[in-house]
Amino acid sequence: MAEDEMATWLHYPLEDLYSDLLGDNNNQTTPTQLPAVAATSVVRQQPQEAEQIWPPAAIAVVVKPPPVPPPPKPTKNFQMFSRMRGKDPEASSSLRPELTVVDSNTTPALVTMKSLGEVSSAFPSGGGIGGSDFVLDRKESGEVTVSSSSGGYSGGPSKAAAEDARDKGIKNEAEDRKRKRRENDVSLTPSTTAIDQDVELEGDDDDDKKHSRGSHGSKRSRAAEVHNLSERRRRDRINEKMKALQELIPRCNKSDKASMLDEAIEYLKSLQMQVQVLPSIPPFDTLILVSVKLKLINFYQMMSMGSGPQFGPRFTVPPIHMPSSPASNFSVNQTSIQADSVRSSVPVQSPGLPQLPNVADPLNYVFLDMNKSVKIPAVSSTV
Amino acid sequence: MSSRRSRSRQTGGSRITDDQIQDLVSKLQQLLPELHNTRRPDKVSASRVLQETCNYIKTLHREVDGLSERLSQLLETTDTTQAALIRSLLMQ
Repeated sequence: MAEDEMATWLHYPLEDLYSDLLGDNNNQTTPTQLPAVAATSVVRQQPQEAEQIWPPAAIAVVVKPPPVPPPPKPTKNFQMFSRMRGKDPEASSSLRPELTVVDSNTTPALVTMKSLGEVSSAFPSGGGIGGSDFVLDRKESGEVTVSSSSGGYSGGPSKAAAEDARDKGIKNEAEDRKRKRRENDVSLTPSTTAIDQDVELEGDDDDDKKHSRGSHGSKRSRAAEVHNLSERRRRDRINEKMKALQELIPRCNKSDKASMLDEAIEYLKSLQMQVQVLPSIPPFDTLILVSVKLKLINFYQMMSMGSGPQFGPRFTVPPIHMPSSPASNFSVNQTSIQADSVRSSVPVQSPGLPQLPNVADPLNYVFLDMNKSVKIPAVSSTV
Repeated sequence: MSSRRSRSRQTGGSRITDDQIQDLVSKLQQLLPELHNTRRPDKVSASRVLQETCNYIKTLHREVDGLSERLSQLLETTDTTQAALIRSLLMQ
């Protein structure tokens, strides 16, 4: 294998490699499979621009410097490597030959590069996304193998999804188990969608099937298992809500879902009807109107009794924009009510009265006022 | 594989009720003002519909309670004969 060939894929443009993955990530789909080299994959979301450094200079790997100088971008991976690097960072930095930024999809995790002498080194690959375990093998012959497994990418979104779910307060064991399995699994395919995206009853099924079909055949059983798990979890959630609903519906001892839902629909309809109808029940309306009228009549009576001399004669339209129609209505009722009103001429609480001039129709005003506030001022007069 | 088969058989057997339930859930969804104007009404999950139903029922309960309390207050403050009349009307 020529070194130049290596360089071509090693220096693959970062954006090209990751654009697919990033797009997938947004869609909550999981990436394709990784080469089965792997190891315990550490799930950690890391910056995509990661830089991987070469084996330590202390081991004296002599490799031709790269054609492209590595951009100095220190990242987390850099930190990870630093502990494996030699004791003298100066020397290693001078020797740092290659910048490997590789995609886990396209890269074999272990690459052997034959350079001078006995030294064969494997370039760590794919650490840009997953960041992972690095195995440093030093053999007697001076062979240095730095192998990196990067199963972490797929773990990234799944962990994010898990955290998301936890944020929502949906934290159950199944989720955790699933996540763990996904972390250990190199090919993680289906049913990330089922975690966060709430899909309809059957649509969920279909989605997952679609994903699992796209995955590798050998992983199908595992995918089905994961799917089963997510499906069960979803059903649990639905059952939970069902139970809550059942508690809200009185006299609902239905056991099966269909009649439960039926009941819920009927009950909801009846409640809506109640709320809609209750304020507009004719006696209810007239009741309010009657009490408002009584209140206003009391007010006018009070005025006419002399407590409000500035308003002039009773039932004439005062200088405020009082329409005459309510006044005339009151005058009709006046005779029958007068005695009581006089008896109960104690000032009726009418806090809205000073604002009356701003309102075109005082009756409407008080009506609205009473609608707003549940408290009805005690109208002591009786008809 | 046996578990797989049983599972598929199970879903196949309950297909009808699943459809029915989906139908009912969508009916339920239409009654919910929160979910009535969602962008993609077919993409609302069943559990969300159920959750919203619970919330909505609670809201309606509160509303009915408030209204009936108001009504009883009104009935208390009015004349007994009138109140009796209204009560009889309400009981109809």
